[in-house]
Amino acid sequence: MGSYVIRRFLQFIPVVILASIAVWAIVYAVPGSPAAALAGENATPETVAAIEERLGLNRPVIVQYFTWIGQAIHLDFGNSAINGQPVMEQLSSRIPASLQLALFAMVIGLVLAFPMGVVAAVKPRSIATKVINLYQAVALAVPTFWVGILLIIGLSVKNQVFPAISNYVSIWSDPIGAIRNTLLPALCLGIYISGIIARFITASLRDALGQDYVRTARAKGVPEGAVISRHAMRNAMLPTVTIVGLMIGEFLGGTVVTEVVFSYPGLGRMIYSGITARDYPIIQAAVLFTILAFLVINLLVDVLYAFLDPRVRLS
Amino acid sequence: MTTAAKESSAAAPVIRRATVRRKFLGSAPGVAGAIVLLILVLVAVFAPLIAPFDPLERAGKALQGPSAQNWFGTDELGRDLFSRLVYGTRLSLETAAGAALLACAVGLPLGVLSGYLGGWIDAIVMRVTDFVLAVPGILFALVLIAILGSGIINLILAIGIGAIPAFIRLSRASTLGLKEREYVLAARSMGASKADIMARTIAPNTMGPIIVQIIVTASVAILAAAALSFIGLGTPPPAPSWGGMLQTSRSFLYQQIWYAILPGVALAITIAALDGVGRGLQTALGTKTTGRAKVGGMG
Repeated sequence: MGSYVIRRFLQFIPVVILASIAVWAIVYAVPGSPAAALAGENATPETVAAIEERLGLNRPVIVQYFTWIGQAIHLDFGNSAINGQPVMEQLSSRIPASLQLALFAMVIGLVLAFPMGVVAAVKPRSIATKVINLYQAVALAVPTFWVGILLIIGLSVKNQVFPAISNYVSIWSDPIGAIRNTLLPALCLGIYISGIIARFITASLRDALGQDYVRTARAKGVPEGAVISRHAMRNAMLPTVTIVGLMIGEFLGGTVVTEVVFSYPGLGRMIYSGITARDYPIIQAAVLFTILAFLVINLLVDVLYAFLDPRVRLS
Repeated sequence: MTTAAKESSAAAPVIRRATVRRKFLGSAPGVAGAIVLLILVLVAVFAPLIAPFDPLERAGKALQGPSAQNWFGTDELGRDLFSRLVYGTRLSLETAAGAALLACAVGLPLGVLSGYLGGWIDAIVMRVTDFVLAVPGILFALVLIAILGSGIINLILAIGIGAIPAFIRLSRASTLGLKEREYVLAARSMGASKADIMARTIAPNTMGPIIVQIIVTASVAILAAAALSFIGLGTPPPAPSWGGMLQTSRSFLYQQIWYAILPGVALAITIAALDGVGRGLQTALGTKTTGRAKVGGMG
């Protein structure tokens, strides 16, 4: 187990370094000088020169990278090029918002997916399964932002049950307000992932039901319900745990469009605003956080998987 | 022995091709998806013949509901919605094909190279792949567009580049499995060069999962392109992109409801058709997983 974790960690480090270089280089990849990009579009030549001086852009590239990463490690991403506020302030207010949206969406996704996945695996030829298959095809085919528009038309514009613009309200301080504000965007994302997760559960449960130990359990006279819940389900849950972990990682920063549709103040909209305003420190901080969060969650999922399934760490 | 080796490697694909066709035709989602997709391709190709109006020109009063003249009504500039949807099909399929083929053309050779040669090439390719996979698909495209600027070519590049890693992983995995097969060893013992073995013996045999991945990528690309156009970073107006139409429709929800509904329906039909074809191919080719497709439609 120890050696697997070390091996996995050694793969993790170069990817993190690569990611930090790529994120740092975003500013250098845009046309024009990075100082001009950081200064914003309406900057005077003096401002640009001052920024160049302050950031040490005349120094060797390698020194510049290490200066940037040195500050980033101390959670200093500089100030926003638009309003001059420390980027870290904005980032730390967006992270809980995105996390809450991701968890809401995941709960909705799992609640929808679980029964569908099990029914489709246990009764593959039933009418229920045909309906489930149809639901999954539709859930995967409709774009989340379009579902967002339809939900806004139905529930916000016409009936005003939910606000069309979602604010971040913490579930700890105001549970009702949190649900009212987070439910619609979470529903968009939840419906979409429910199709993917249900297919995953079906595939792995079907696979598990065909294994020898299930046949043995049935031959011993174990009731079918217990065969499914106690024997097959446990093994089938492993791949599902993996995909759920990866999706939460993807949700932190990856829900740009949904957040834009509902004006939800998460990481995705922070990156979107950063891009439309060409506010590079904002983009860099948010993108770096998103990638790191994904990599760390990925690492944790792999280690957890290896802990639960000895075959993984021994191969 | 050499003839035997040749025969077995030459005979296998022939038998498989017939079974694949039979199995695909036996899959309901596959056949239904293929028929719809064929219709969509025909609509895209013959758009000028099908669309009654120029998609960029005024064709009636603004924001009219469906009528005999404008079947799906008109948009805020009085342009015919049906004609814009028809041309939008062309735009969507172009983006999808461009992104999927770009990703395959770069990813397949890199994966075979990485898997066959191993060593430091493999290590570098895999770490870069891990990095790209760590960036949410839509975010990767977003940042690339911020760097490249908007426009359909940059859209294809941004989505296509993000889709490369899935192709690398798939073809690398197949290559690792094929490397020690008899016909590859036979080719090597006959003195075939490494390049020859990779290009002629291994690459063609990795095609099963790759074809499925092309379809998956195409549907992800359509969703991503629509999402990016929707937030104003994809195909710039006045091009009739489905995502762009949905974006403008939001300001006119009360006047013309069809404006906000029909482009979404067009998107859903296209994605569902590709999903059906993908599932049919999966059944037919016996490929179980298609690697981790970037979830571009999610955002």
